[in-house]
Amino acid sequence: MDTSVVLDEYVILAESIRQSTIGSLTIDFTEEDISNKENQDISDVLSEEAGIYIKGYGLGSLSTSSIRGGSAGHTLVLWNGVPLQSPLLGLLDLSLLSTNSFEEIKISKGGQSAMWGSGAIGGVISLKNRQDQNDMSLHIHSRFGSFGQRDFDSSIGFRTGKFVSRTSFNIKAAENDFTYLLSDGISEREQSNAQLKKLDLQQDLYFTLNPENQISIHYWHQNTHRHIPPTTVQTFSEAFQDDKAHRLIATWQRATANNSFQFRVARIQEELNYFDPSINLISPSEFLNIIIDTDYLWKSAIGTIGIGASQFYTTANAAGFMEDIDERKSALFLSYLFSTDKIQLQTSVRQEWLDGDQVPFIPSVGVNIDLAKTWEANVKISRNYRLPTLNDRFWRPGGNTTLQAESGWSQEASLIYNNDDDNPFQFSVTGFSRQIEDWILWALVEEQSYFSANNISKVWSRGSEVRSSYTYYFGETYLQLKAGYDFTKSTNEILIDQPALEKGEQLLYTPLHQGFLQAEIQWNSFNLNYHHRFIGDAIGINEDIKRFHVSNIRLQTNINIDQVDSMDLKAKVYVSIHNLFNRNYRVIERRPMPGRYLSVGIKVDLQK
Amino acid sequence: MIRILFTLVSLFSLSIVQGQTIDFEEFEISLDTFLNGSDANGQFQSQNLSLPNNFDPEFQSWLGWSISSVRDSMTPGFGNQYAAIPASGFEGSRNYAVSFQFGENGLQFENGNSGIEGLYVTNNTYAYLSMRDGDAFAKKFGGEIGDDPDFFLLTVLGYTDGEQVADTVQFYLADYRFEDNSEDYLISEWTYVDLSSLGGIDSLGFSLSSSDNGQFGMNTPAYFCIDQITLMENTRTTVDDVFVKNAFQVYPNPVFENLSLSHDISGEVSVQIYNMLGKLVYESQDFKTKNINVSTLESGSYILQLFGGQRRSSRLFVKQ
Repeated sequence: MDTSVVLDEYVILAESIRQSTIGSLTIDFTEEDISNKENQDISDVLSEEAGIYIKGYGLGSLSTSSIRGGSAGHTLVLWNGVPLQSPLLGLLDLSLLSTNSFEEIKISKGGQSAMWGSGAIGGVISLKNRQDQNDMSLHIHSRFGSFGQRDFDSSIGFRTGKFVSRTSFNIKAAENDFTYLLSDGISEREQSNAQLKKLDLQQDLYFTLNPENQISIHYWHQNTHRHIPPTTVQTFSEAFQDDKAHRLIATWQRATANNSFQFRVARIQEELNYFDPSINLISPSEFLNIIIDTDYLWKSAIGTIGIGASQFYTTANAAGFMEDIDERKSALFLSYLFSTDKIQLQTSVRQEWLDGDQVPFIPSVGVNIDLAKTWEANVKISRNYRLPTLNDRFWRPGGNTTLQAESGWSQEASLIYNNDDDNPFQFSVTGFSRQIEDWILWALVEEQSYFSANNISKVWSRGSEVRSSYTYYFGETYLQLKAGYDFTKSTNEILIDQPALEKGEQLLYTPLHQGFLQAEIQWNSFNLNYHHRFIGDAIGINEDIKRFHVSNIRLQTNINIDQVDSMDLKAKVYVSIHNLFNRNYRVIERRPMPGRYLSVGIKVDLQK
Repeated sequence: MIRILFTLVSLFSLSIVQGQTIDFEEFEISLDTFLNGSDANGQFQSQNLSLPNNFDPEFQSWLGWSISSVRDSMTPGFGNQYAAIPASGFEGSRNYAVSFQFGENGLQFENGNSGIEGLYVTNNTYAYLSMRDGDAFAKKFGGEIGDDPDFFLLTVLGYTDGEQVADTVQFYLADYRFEDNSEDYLISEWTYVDLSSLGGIDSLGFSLSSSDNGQFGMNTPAYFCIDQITLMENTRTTVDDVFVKNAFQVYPNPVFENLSLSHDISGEVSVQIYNMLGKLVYESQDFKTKNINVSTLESGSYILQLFGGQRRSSRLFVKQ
């Protein structure tokens, strides 16, 4: 692993050992990959290209992920190394994240709690902003689509000496008034009260003090106003929700040949205010997270050692709390990475304290082995955990301050074939198993008039993932085929009355089977991409959810105009058809999904 | 399809005894307020009737019964949980009782066997509007296209010395099971439910069931309202009571294949069997043999209802 990379005198990347994912499979999207996409929700990218099951409530509505049969709170989302999960809900609405907000997206499946702490059970989604290496850049992206979708994205960046700045602005609006088929397959209904407006404002600053030291500051403001549409069995809805976020991270990085040091302070302030005028409901909530995080990495002849500490101060309030809640978390971690030509081994431990009380001690060990020139094997065993959320602990009624952390062991092994010749072929197969004890469920306990949070379940998730990719070149033209299949059996291991869960029953909203097939042709300046996704039957709270197929197709053409006033001008024009075959499907029962719809866009990049 | 709205207005109780009535008007509460048990008494007492209440002071939540004078038939949602859909008590009176319970809710008569002639029942506004329009958790009755055979059923059970009497009374607070959707209905008025078939009993149990259920139980808000309870006089019994106690039996119980009926009705009788969801599973208009082959029924509990000689009674039996 390259622990530090000096790209030029202005760019310092002091990577933390926590970025290392020895023993795990990762999926990386580079800045170029992201720029080749239309400005999608992160959830679309995760479901299309990473094979992650997205529990989406409909176009523009809440989206959460389930990785390897975990719950929404079992996916940790990091922005420049800082967790973004709401401490109240333990999750992040992925529909609020647009791909254009980041220069790097990395998905690591499997448990990462030893590195990142609570919630990193199913996997970690790491979102990063990277320093622009141009002297000046201007980016404009405009997108229009069916159902009143409008999206305007722009950024301007420049470098002056040792100072680099990028300012980004994204505004998005949609009516989302699509028509959907009702259960008789004939009648239609138009979705109502589904409009949204969203504003993103980002400022990234990098100040390189000298070739070894850099200070970076990232600020991200989000303001979203969206209405909550009725279910398919609800006459109307007047509900709406406002999400506001101010996120600020300041990082000092110091990198030398054998040492790397990062010190980071983050302030994450968010509000989520839910309103339903028809039932006179106002449900405000807010939190403030102050995170102080440091890690040090030392490369020696016997391996690489990383040590770090994190401190979290959380203040939160919500309509369901009796008073402001203050929470403190402290964590220490230690990691050792040993590397030879054939083997990379990483072992890590983490100890965390919540309000002074110890939570489970977390060890992890992972190995990558080069079996032959084209074959590689990965193995990882780790303990992982998720602390109860503030709502789990303090919501009235039902909050339970005596809750234990969910915790358990994960095991995974992968075999990877990678033939990197003129026509590259990759294949991987992964098997995993994870047992989580003290799984928290809101349940109706005898003699209670309300549902309450309890450590009553035990969940065993196991399965396999197969991925394959083949690219065939005809000169400058190529055809790339990608395919993936996931089998995920995630079962409740304890009989529970209410919610009604049998022992051995598959978890809700967790399909046993899902897969995708993607074909991409690059010909001259044209790129044609077809993506087909299959999601198997799943169990919903109210009724079973039938399997479905969804296909998207996109045609893009690049227009390169060399040197305009000594600046490079590039443009991309694309047209996408979503749900190409106009399938009637639902991811969640009573929540409709749109039929076939269109989006067109143009991207213009000016760089010097 | 023949639908029987059990007990809506009884044609079969031959002796309607105008006994003592309980109307909750003695509770001195202002209009548009309620008593939800926050005084931690554990019950409300109205004459010799006890209405249990389980109030949780920590979370300010309650189970059992509340006494209400709330007059709101318009506002949907949990915040309007104390309102009855007619926006008043029976015949415009001020007070009524609201039931909220996940399982069976009870009423006890303190002076032993009173028996009850009947009471007036209506929908709670929160439940009514949820069934009419749907909400974030519960469905609009009839479903997406109006054809779903939805129902919201109140089953009334009688007890004597803790033993459940054989008869039960069912009352549909909402019934969307009709072939013709225009016949679907939600109860929006105070409606009389005849409980005389339960006979001399010392407590009642009320249980709600709905066609809208999920993994977390019933989605329809588990509320209904009662008022104007008419008690039997202890010395009087109805003809139905005699019939219930002596003249009508089903056996064996539990039954595997052939269910036998014993009754003293000389003329024509008809028989209907309902499952516990209120669905009619067997019907005979001209029943003579006194034997029913129930081998095709699924295992479970059923209610057999016998009509004849201007009388009616029900028996619970279990098919194994």
